[in-house]
Amino acid sequence: MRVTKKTKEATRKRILQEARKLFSKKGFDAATTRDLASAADIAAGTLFNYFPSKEAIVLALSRHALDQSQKNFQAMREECETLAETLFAHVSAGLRSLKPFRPYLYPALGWALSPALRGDAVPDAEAIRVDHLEVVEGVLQDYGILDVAGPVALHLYWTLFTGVVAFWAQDDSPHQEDSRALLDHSMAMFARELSTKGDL
Amino acid sequence: MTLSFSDTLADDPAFEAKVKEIFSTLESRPLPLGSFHRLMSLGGLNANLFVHYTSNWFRGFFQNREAREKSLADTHIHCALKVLERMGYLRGVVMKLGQTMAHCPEVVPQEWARVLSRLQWEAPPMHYSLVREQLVSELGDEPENIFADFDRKAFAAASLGQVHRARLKTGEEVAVKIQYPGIASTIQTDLRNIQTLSTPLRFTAGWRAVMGMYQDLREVMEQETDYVLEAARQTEAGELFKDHPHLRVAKVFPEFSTARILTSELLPGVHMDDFLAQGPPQEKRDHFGGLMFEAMLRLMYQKRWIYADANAGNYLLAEDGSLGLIDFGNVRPFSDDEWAYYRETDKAMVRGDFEGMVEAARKGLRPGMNSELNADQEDWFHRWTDWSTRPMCQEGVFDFGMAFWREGIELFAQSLRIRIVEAIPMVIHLTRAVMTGRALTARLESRFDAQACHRKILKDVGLAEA
Repeated sequence: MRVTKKTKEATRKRILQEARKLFSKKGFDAATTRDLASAADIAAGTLFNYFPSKEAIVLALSRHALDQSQKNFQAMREECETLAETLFAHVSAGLRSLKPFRPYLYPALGWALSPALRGDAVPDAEAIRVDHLEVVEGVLQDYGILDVAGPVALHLYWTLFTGVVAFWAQDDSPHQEDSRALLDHSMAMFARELSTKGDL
Repeated sequence: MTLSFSDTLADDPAFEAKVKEIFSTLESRPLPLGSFHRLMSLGGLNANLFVHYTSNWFRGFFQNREAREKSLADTHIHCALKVLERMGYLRGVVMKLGQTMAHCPEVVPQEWARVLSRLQWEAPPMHYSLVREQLVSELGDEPENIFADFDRKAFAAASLGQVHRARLKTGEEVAVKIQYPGIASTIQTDLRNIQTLSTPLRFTAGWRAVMGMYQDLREVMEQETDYVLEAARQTEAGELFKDHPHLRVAKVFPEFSTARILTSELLPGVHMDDFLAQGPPQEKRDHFGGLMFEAMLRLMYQKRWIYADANAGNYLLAEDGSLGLIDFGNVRPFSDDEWAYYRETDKAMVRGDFEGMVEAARKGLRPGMNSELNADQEDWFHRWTDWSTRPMCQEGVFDFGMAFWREGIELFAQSLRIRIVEAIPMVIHLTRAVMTGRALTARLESRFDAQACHRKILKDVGLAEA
């Protein structure tokens, strides 16, 4: 039987929905790919046609959540007064949307959000990176410093961002307040780096 | 570049520009959290100040008296600005120290006091996005959903938090105090740094006393980061003063408060600097000085609390004569033993038994130190007991003005010279409360009947002796 694009999309969506429920219920480690396939009503082998691993499922969930967070960020963006604050608001909006996945985000981060990751090895991870940096470029453009920033600065930014996300995923301070301090620190440091380069 | 400042800093554009520049730079510098970073920052400051004062000392050899004085004043301001910048940057315990110094005239040079007083209400603010995240994570919703109005700009900042005006959906005007994220960790770091910097004292006789103070400071500072505890104390104090004609404590709104957010009623009034700038008549100065004194004593006798941080930023002086108390973060309760010790001195004071007071007060020294006092220390101890209890021992109106304050400062400075600083921790807090409280009454140049106030409170709580 030929699987249509529409059916494929529906199956993928169902897997993500069931995975989210199962991870919350059983925990990331305890939920097996067999459990996931069964919950999504597909054969165990079929699951791998969609996602190569459980980590890839987490990344797909994260990507979807981060896409949703853009609306919140755009609403908050208006009220930001500095570059550092705007970047802070952007990442904060993302972290808020990722919060439901925080308990099982860390295992997926190690390899998927690596600054060394390139190409389509993990499509969702690459998409997260590209989409996120596209917004950052837009912010820098708004502040008229995109030319000053350049690829090295964006790489530096991505390193800071992934560091903050990794810290946040394991942050046991009350309401992850230490992560907010780290994020604030990181974004201010990045903005300062650009201001010294561009003499802003 | 060496800056030169005029004698009256208030109108000096160079000074104002420099303060503005410092705060503008600080706004883009988040709180440093690393232990090493903070330790180095403090160490670097010491070196910087040393270089400035040493250069000034050398310059003095080639200057006449007038030029020397001007140069010293400029060096004081220059160094104070450095301290302002560093304390504003490090916040936490370090900024607390700066605020205390600023409100002790004559402990630090006048220029320092004026510059450091800027720490009170001009600390670097958190940007609104960070404030929003703090509110969302603590109260569970966006500020615009929680409050009818929320002012994006802080109207006050202190060492641990900043305060925003807001209006509840039920109409009450409130002050929302929001703690800097991670400040609790920086306090731990500062205290570790203080312990590290104190290590050379390990082999001195005072080491145990230093460690005692360190442990106590740690407990007090940890409590200060806990707004749930502060809210509980504020509510208790509010209950205590609810029928008082002039003392006000802001009502806490617990449903909008957490360990990191404290929402209280917005009390009317101005801070002491603004009050003094209006050139108030003596009657008003006496009135507010008397209220500050009464509030501290009532908290002590009725709650058994030492209101240890009586800095000017914690009081609001209102047009209708009421005094608002707005910060209960630094309250040190007496233990039963400490209270018994305090009451022994107190009873001797009421009896007018000076030697009894001295004997009782000696118990506040580090155990073992009692029998070791040399002649200078004995003499100092008598004079200190006299100074600290005089307002309550003297009948009628007592003048808390600068002459009385200077006497206390000289004694305090002398205590450091003759090394009589080894007291039990409670005495350190009590001394701090007395010194900071009297710094305020000195600035107000207040005169009031302290003895009558003291005796009335004793009577109210059933502690008056026949």
